[in-house]
Amino acid sequence: MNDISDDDLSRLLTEAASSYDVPEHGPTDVLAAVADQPVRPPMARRPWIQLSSAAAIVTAGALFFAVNDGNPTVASNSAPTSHTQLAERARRDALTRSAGSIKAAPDLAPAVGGAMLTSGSFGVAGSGSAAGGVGAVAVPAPAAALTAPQAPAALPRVGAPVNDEGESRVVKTGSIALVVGDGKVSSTLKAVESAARHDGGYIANGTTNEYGETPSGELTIRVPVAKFEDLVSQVRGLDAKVRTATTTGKDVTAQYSDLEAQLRSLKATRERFYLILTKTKTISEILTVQQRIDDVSGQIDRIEGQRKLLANQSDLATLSVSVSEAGDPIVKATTKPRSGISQAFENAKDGFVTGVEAIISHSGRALLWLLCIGVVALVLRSGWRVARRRMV
Amino acid sequence: MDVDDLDEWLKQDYAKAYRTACLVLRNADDAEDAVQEAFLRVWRFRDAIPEGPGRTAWLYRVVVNACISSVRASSSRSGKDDGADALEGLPDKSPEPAVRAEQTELAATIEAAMAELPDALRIPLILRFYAGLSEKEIATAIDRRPGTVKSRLYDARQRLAQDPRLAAWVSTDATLEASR
Repeated sequence: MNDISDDDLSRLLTEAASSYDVPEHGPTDVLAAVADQPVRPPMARRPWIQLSSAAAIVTAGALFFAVNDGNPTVASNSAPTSHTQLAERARRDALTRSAGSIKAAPDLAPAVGGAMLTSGSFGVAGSGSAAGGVGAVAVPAPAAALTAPQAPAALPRVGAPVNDEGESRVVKTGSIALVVGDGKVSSTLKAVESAARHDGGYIANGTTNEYGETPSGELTIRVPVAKFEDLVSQVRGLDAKVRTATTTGKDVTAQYSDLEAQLRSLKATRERFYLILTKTKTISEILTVQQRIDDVSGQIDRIEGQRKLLANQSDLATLSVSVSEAGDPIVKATTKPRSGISQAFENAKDGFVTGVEAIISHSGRALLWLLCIGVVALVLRSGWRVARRRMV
Repeated sequence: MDVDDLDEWLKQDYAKAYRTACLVLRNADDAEDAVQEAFLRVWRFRDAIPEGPGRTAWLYRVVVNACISSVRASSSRSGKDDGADALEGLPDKSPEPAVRAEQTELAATIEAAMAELPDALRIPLILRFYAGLSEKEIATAIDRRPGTVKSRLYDARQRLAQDPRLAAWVSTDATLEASR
């Protein structure tokens, strides 16, 4: 095998390197550049640091009161001049970021950027605005004429952890299709909306279609789960024919408790990493621990999101109400009785299609049986021929 | 670390760091800037400098990162890989004595052969056989595992051995046998 010896490689590279004359002024230039380094003012005196700190403190305070999970997020910035300070800063950054929905502020990144940090995941600090408070319910705008009122203040706090008594959590959903007389779609929708408000609910989504001769409308109502049955009764009691009505309930208490247990465990793990972070000594160690903290924080965010979704779904039931006039083609299609001849032709067509489907669906199995029988027949025939020769 | 310590470190390592950067960047001016930037970063993060033998690997990690930053900056300015331009930036040395001419020719040959290697292979090779770092130190310097460094060094040597311009330095099994 061909190779170049270590000595030859060293000699060749030394030869190549020696073709570059080392500038005599190089070290002097470096020292001059070091001397020219501006004396950076204490970070606390920089305006953007002050603004960012103020924003972070306000955001953290708001989150603290909203979440009340005890995450300390108040941070004060200082120049990271040692491992301990870098580690402390990284810990604060991770805390602030994981406190929830805080945007990264890229302008802070250079503060800790540098040779060792360029490939790391540093430089993210909380100074943005909180995107949605914890427990806030996302209410999409209605698609058409109906205006969706804001969730009333009387609504229970969505996303609150299960209390110590272990309250059960049930996700309730339902849908009701109403058929009304001519010109009553709008009034019926208003009546449904009024009933929802009466029960402390709100319209999460609403659409109306008044184009053409068959106006219709649909509302998606969020209502406290305890008032769900009452609302269903009120809607069914309106002056309208109930075409379809379905309600479902699913107990998610165990799933919710499991998510909370996972959250507690992951937060404890993250706290341990923070403790380790304060004891790191090298940049490499800081980056490694920081990466682990980021991973755990990501898991916490994901599970927290699932928990909030589940809490929202179990705190507020969802009821969809659609209202249409009797002349609506959909209503006609499902309600108009067929004549005997028409029904007979329909049955014949269905029977033909069903028969063809049955033949096709069984053809695979039949083919397999035929193949098996053919193979067995061939084996038996060959065996019979051999046996006959021996007999002869 | 104070300025005196930095001055001492510069006296000790500047030349080697500068020539390492030259070999990586193949451009004296860029190398000078990169090394200056590297030592400035060293100064900024002086509190993070490890003690003991790890210091050299740490320095070369900073130097390599500064070189990579320099290449990226050049690429973003020119919008293309400026490897060829960088070669043109080699110092213009007049071949005074014949020995010097031969040395310059040899340097150009090895540099041309090295230029064929991708950075991933070239940088470990330079750090190993010019800067004199161990495989473990190179692993720290380029932030890769020692096994990866070993593999890259092997690949780089194999590629150089295949280069016809370096045929004179290549030892075959036959020559090795004959030398014994």
